[in-house]
Amino acid sequence: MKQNSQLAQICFAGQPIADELVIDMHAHLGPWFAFPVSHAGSPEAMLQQMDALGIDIAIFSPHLAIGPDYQEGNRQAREAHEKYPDRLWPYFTPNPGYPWPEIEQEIRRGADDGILIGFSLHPGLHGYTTTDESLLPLYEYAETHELPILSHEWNGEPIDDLPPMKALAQRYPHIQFICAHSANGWETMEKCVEAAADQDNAYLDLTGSIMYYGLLEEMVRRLGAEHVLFGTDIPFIDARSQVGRVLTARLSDDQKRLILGLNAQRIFDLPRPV
Amino acid sequence: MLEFFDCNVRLGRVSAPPPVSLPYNCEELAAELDRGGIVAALVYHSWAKEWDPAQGNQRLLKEIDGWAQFYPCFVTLPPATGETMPPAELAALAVHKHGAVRVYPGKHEFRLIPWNCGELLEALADASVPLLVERTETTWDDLAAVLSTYPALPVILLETSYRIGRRLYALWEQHPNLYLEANTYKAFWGIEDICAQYGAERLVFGTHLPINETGPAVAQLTYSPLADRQKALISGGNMRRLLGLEGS
Repeated sequence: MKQNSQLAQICFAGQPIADELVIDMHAHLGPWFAFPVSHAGSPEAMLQQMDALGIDIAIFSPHLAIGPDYQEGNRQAREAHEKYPDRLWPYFTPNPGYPWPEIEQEIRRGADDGILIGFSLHPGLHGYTTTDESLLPLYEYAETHELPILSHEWNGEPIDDLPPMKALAQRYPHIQFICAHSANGWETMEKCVEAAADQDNAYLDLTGSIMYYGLLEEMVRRLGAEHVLFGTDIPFIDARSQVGRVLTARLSDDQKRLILGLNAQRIFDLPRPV
Repeated sequence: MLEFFDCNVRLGRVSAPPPVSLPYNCEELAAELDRGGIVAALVYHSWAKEWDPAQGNQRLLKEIDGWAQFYPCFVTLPPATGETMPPAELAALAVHKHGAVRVYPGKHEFRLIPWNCGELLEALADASVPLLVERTETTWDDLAAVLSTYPALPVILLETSYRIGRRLYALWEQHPNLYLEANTYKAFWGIEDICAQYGAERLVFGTHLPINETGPAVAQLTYSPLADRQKALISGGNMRRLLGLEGS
């Protein structure tokens, strides 16, 4: 095969990415209602796949938290982190349909325990938009504490929040805004690139199940590798295809390293597992 | 190293190209497959899907002539209107060329069920010619009817989703003649769970190049903890068996 990339050769050999920092900045945890999830999406099943691929760290939000019970879901996240403190780092997942004082109390608990590293928003599933007033205290908190925000519904149906993301990124310069599922289609990618362009604190995440020919390269060409983040969605879906997509992309190995982990490390500043 | 045989490659220019240059001809596709470590492929022509199956199939044979790594996948229609080759002739040609047949019931506006395609399905089943269909081109009920009525017909389901497990497993409980393009089923540890329950014989390797990249499909297998024998079946052994290429 004709690929000079050292990282591509690792993929063809099925070897873990041993010598690079790999951070999956978009993972989940647990089962889901719509389809079977192997091993009920357990932390151990996630770690088995992470080890096979060489993913050092997964930053995750439990399916229960993005679904019906954000409080219990965040507790599950805390438990998984306590069990695997160097490998699994939780987002705090709020549901702004519930009162802010309740959410704030949960956030402060995470902050006191030193595990508050960012927020994961799921507007579509929780029934809100990122411009809802109920989110203003959260944005203020994130701005004050310089915490990143990953949102799953900046783009696409039923909510198109890309213009708000650009406006929010301008209004809150100390929040790193991450747009999930930015590579799911050509139109989606183009809208996401437009929203993130010229915005130092805006990033696009690759998470998704469809991997179109040449799309990642085009995203990097337009936006720069410094603003593209590797995410897998495990255990919602399998991680291997996403790893294969990045490792075999028509990009330099230095660009791949940025995408695989160095960009996320700049945002989250997590200790590298020993 | 695994030998990859891709069951899902498209040849030819398309109606709505994306904003990047794609590999369209045999030379470009061969280079891209080589880049992905893929040694052979079952190929259909875009003309047959997006314009005229009969002329698209002719164009396919003309373009892949001389390319030993490409095997033809003929797009066909229900026989009643006489637009495509009679089913028995088509089945014989497919056998002769170690090829397969692909249908687009949704796009081409027919039903993949016995009253609409019976003669075709029977001819393919009699000759053991694989029938390929994309998941969104037919209904689950129609698919179940075909599998049930023609148990000797190998049906390869393409372009699926990580969400189909509950329907897929139910079909497999009753129909061993159903095969799945592995990569679009991106369920977490999905292919390992399928192999544990049904064996590796029901999965085939496919990318749908040049719509999709090849690397993701390759990585699904190279990073799998499945036994080498199982991975060899999925990467190419099963497809070679279905096309009568075993030992070639």
